[in-house]
Amino acid sequence: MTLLTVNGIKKSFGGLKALNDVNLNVEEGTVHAVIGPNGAGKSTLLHTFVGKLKPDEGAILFNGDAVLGKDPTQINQLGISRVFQTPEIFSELSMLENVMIPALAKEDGTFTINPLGAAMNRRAIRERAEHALEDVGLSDKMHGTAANQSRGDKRRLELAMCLVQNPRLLLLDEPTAGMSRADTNNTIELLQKIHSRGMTKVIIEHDMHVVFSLSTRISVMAQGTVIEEGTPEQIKASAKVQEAYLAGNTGEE
Amino acid sequence: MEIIQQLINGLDKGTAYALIALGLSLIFGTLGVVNFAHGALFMIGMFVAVTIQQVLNIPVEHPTEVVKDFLGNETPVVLPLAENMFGPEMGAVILNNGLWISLIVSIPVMAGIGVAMDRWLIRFFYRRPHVEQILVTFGLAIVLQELIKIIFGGNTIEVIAPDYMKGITDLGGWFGLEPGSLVYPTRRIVFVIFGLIVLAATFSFIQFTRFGMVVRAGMQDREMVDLMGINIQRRFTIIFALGAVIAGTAGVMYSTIEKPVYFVGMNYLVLSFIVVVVGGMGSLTGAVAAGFLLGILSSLSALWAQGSGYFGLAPVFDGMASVLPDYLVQVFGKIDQLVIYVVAIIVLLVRPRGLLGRKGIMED
Amino acid sequence: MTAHLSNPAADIDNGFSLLGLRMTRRDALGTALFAVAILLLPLLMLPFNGSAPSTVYQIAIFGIFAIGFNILFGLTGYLSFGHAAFVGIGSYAAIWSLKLLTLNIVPALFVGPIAAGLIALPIGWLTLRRSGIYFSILTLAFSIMLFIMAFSVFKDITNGQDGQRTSQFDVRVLDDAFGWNQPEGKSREEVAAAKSALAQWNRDLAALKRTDPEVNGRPVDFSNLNDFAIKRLQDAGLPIEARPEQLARPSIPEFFGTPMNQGYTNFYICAVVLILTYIFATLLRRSSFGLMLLAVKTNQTRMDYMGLKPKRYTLAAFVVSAMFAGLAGALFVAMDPNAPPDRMEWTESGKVVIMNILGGMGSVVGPFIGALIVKYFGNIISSIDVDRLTHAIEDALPFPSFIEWPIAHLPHLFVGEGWELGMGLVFMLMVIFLPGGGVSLWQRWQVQTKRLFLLSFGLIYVIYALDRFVMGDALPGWAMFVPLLLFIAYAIIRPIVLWQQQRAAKKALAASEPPTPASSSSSSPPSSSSGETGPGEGAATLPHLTRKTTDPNAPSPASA
Repeated sequence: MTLLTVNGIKKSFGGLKALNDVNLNVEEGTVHAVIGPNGAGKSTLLHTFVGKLKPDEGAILFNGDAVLGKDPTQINQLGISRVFQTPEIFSELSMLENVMIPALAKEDGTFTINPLGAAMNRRAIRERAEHALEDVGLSDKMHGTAANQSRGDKRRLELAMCLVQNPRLLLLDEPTAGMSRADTNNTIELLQKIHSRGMTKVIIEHDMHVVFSLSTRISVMAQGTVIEEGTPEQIKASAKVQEAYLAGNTGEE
Repeated sequence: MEIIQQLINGLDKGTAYALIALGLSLIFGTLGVVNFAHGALFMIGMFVAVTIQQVLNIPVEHPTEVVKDFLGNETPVVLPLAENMFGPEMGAVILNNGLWISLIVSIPVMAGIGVAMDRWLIRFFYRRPHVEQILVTFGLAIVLQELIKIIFGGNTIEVIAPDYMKGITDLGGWFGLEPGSLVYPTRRIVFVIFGLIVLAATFSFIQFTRFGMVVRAGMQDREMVDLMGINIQRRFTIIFALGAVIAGTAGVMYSTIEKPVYFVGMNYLVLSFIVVVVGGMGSLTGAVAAGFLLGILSSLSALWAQGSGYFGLAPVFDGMASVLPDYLVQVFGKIDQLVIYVVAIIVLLVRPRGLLGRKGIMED
Repeated sequence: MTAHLSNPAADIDNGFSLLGLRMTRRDALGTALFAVAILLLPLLMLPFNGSAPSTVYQIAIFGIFAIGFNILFGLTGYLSFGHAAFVGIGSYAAIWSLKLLTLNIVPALFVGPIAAGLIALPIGWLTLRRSGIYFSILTLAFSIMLFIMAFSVFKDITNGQDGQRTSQFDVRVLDDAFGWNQPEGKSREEVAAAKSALAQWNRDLAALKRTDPEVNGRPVDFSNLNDFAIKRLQDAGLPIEARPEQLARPSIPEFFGTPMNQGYTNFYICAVVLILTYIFATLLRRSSFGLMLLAVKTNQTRMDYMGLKPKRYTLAAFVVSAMFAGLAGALFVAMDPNAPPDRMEWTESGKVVIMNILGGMGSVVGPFIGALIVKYFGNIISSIDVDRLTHAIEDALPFPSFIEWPIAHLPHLFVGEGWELGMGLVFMLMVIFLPGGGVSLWQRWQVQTKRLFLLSFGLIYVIYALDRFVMGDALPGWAMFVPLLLFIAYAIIRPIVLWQQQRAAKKALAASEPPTPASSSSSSPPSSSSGETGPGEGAATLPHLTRKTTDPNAPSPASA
């Protein structure tokens, strides 16, 4: 079934049309990549998904619910989780605590101030957090301070923070940006492992290797609109896509 | 007419706020440092004036002249230092113009203090969080304040203005209005004029020199300036010293208007911060405009409190007074002191970047 | 800036549980130690000349204020300059409870925090709409506003500069209803009769006032109506009776019969409240709520995207800390019912910030230690006779006078009236070099150093006891501090020596010798610590050019 429906999204900043009639459908269980040259509007589009930006026109439906008009908090509760481009973590807390917080949030929807009740569930929550860290391969660093970790580990931590909330849709904004080859491969492996659980993902990426390793469907954006959509093979072969890239940057590193 | 009188009454305070806020805004906009010690710099300026006055007045025994006291004994004549060194006429002139001497002396003194502060303390806090900057400069303000208290004691000390600045000026005559209708103490006028000169000079400097251009660019976008290869950090010390000089000289000139005392710095600091924030952090014009605005506003609302017809709204007010409970009426009556804070709170809540601030600076 | 005490979460499960909240074993031990130390505080302060009831209870009350403040500042990082106002509100609420309800301090101790909390709610809601220094300035503005209003608009409630006091003429509803705190030795009927006589007299007086009487053509001045004035009015022909005799009622706050101005009862009540505060703060820190607050400090953006609303937690922390401030204010009044408004001045807010920084914000005990230091120095050191000290030093030292003069006059800078200067300097040094406060210094020490410290501190008591009970005060007053001074010298010199060693070792390394195991110094030299970035700086202020163009959600790099 179609999990995320994007219809006719338009957004202008002053005279600049950042998004010009974007249409997109994300099917449940797929890994849907959004690629395109710089300035195509990919990140802007992502911002509209998470409530950071309000489009001038158009509609976004997630699992039948309208997304527009909701704030990021509410959107998260619908089941959309987001990994930031530069890891946004709680630097002073330990890795485990970092993951426990989103776990606590998920506990009763919007976490109400209930120190008494929540404390009781602490063990359950902690175990969930520990599992999430295991999944991303960070168990041995559980108690380390988040700020002291390598960039790759921070990225994994962020992933764990999203996973622990069991989102229906995971949005990844350039997850391998600035990573070494080795790190990139690790990330690909990790994401493949998660995919086998059937979580729907939307990935914005520049690294074509990542895109083609992971995605089952690709939408190509250029100049604020989707110019082509299809399977990875279709996209590889599409002349339109090659043109768009040559006009801007090439997508390869 | 009264309105205009009150407008002018607020000018001197407004000028003081504007000058202090100018330095604060300059330092925050360029260095990114929140300087809670700025009020102390103002206070130090005031005490430079006090020091010069005291130094010039040190009683010294005349080497030769004597007078007979009422018992018939001879005692040496005791003269102020100035007269002793320069003779009676010249000495008197110097004593009278102590204020200007203080002003001249204060410039290198404040510059030195500013340079010292920046090089030995502030420099380490450029990249530290604002909270820590506030804390350390707050600590410094306390230290400076206590030093002054130890040296000069805890009471106010009067600084005497030159003779020609005492008394009032009749502004009515200037504007072609009835003489005696618009009066203002002379020394306050002098202060306002001084303030305007300083403001004009600073703005010209910022606007028309290369250094000033770098400052303006840096206030707009520090990263771009760095990218262009301009090492703006080297200029920070100068900017900080400039802020210190502005605050200090303002203090010197203000010392005849308000009696210097060790805690005056804190009072003006709070208000100046409110001024900077209302005007918009990072905007020099905003800081100055807000300074004048708030000074005049507080003066106008004092007028309101005195019940001079409430600008023609008296019937409305009386009507309200009969309906409202007593203490609410009192609130309106005491509004002069509160108004600055109320305005500041409203501005901060409604328009957090201030009246003229740039978008994105510390916005939430 | 805060040293985060991360306890492996497993410790929590092995710890203790109170009302569903948890603390670790270490916490419990710390709490027990703290409780014992507080209960023994008058004894512990003996050698330092600080065991008078007023000194120790002030320390306790400020400790409560500081620990409460730490819940906001230490955990969330929001710096409020307005909490002194809540102390004031608590004070006024408490004194009116003492005047209107009962002299028993218990209701006052509830009314204070509740009033402060109620007022903190809207103020917090408004001010927390902004963060950082905007928030600080907003709290400052509100605090000053309340201060001004206390003197003007609310003058009836606060009695302006003079402050409110309890008096024997107060109408105390609960007291009178239950027969508490009544005049000595009189029966209930006598008391009731005297009261109704006075009430009647007051009514007659009010009626008389309404007629706007005049004497000798001038309106009568009814203020200051003592017996003499009444007599004169009677002679002038006014229909006024003599004031009925008043039975002397007590006017000192009491705790179920024990008045607050005798002995150490007042201190022990504050001590119990302090210990309870400590327990509360510890439980809070370990709770999920505490975790949320720490999260707010480092990354509010992230919290939004996790479905959490940070503002709720900060508002709760604001109100809770305001309530502790109100509690402190109520305690002040309960111990000594003069409510001077200068506790509401914003510089008093600055003091509690100083207490937090000096002691250290990363723990519950840190703010208390800061409060101890500031209050102790404020009360005791400021009253040391500086001149005597100066002369004593001059007599003791054999140097010529021009060397002696600066040394002898050095105390003037720090002792007596100048103590705030010393405090300001220490505060600055703390912020620069040791933002974690005193407690973080302790944490950085190695075991050996910690032992030496405890030893030299313990020796103070040993020497004191020996001197007082065995040797008959033979030793000079400063003798017991010698070990401590030696320790301080050691603590300062050792890291410098180690640092030199490290530098030498590095130089040797440059000559490509095998690296000597650099002994970790007990406190790192200044230059390394000033390079640390503070909290929240990590994500928010990294210069990131690529982010600028592609990720408009990045926090704008407004100022480094």
